[in-house]
Amino acid sequence: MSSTNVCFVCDTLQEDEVEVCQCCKARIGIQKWLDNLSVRDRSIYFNRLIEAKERWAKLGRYDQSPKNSNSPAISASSNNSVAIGGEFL
Amino acid sequence: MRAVWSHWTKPLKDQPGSVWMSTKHYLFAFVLSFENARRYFSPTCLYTDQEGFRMLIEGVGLPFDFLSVDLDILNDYCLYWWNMGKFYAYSAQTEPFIHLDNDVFLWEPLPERILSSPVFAQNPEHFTELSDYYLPVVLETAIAGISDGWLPEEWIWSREIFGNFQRSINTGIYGGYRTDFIKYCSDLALKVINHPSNAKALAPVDDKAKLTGMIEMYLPNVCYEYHKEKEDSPFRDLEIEYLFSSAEDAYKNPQQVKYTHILGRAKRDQDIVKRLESRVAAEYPSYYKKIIEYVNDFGELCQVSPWSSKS
Repeated sequence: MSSTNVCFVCDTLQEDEVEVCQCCKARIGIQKWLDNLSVRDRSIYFNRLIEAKERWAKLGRYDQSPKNSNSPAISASSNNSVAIGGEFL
Repeated sequence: MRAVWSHWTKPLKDQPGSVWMSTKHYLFAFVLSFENARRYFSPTCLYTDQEGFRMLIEGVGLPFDFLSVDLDILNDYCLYWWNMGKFYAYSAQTEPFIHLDNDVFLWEPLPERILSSPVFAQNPEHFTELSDYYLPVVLETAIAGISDGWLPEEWIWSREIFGNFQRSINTGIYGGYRTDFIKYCSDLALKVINHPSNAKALAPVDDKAKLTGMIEMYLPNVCYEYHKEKEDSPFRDLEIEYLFSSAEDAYKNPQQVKYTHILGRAKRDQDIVKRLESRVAAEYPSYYKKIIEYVNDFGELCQVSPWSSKS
């Protein structure tokens, strides 16, 4: 993960070279420890962020419950008013 | 491969707002789950209690190959720990197996990549602090509020590394040949619930039904990820295979594998339950008759739910 002027999480342009902007660090609770992570853990962490961002890109498509419509949690458990494969029944 | 189901009666019988519309729908689903799966798996195994035995075996007549009627030992637990029977069944396995929720129906054989994998599940799930189902903070806050509370090191590690970006697995189907790993995760789940300090801390928590679902589905993934990074772990090289690559994949492409999971509140969808009943009546008239007779003789186990079909 190399530093650029774009926050990796929110994609906003920053004045300084950063991996994650201060706002996102605070928002997702990584302020205290991100800079102290081992190389391995930083790799794990950023791989997870990539995955999470891919999920966010698909937000709402299958989350049909109005209650969950704003949730970035894409899980069958959260979306449980709709059966998977109900058409086969 | 063994096909395993579990049924602990207490949550179904006593839970206000049980997710099924009625006992008969629960039983229709059980029949369809069992009959579809036994085309592809043998032996078939049920972990249940005395009342479950009377209902599913003596009442409905499901011909399981193996029966364990030990789940009455769970009856001192609060009914909101509804999946304790699943933990028990998972931990008891010593041979390759598939556990099926009774609301899961297989319409064709599962792919070989699933059946030959060390551990498999329905799909990975992703959640953040905004999830209304996965509530790690509720559990953690309750446990932090009491001295000597306990959480697995895998849980703490995952929360420290991934913060609010967490991954879980949906266990509509769950199994594999690494029964040591599955038992390890189930035993951890039981320890989270049974730990004396945790039990005190969690007793007043309202969301136990969600917490126990989270514990069941979240712990295997944090254990998987934690042990993958631990050089001396016996689970380091283990992989989890998924029937669907994500929850959205399961919804978008169910035709890639003919598979049905009537999860959660979908059990109260009028159209779904109508088709469930029609299918059982048409394909399994003998079971259908027995279910209707059982419900007529013994009444409803499921209580009236506050959920509407569209909630």
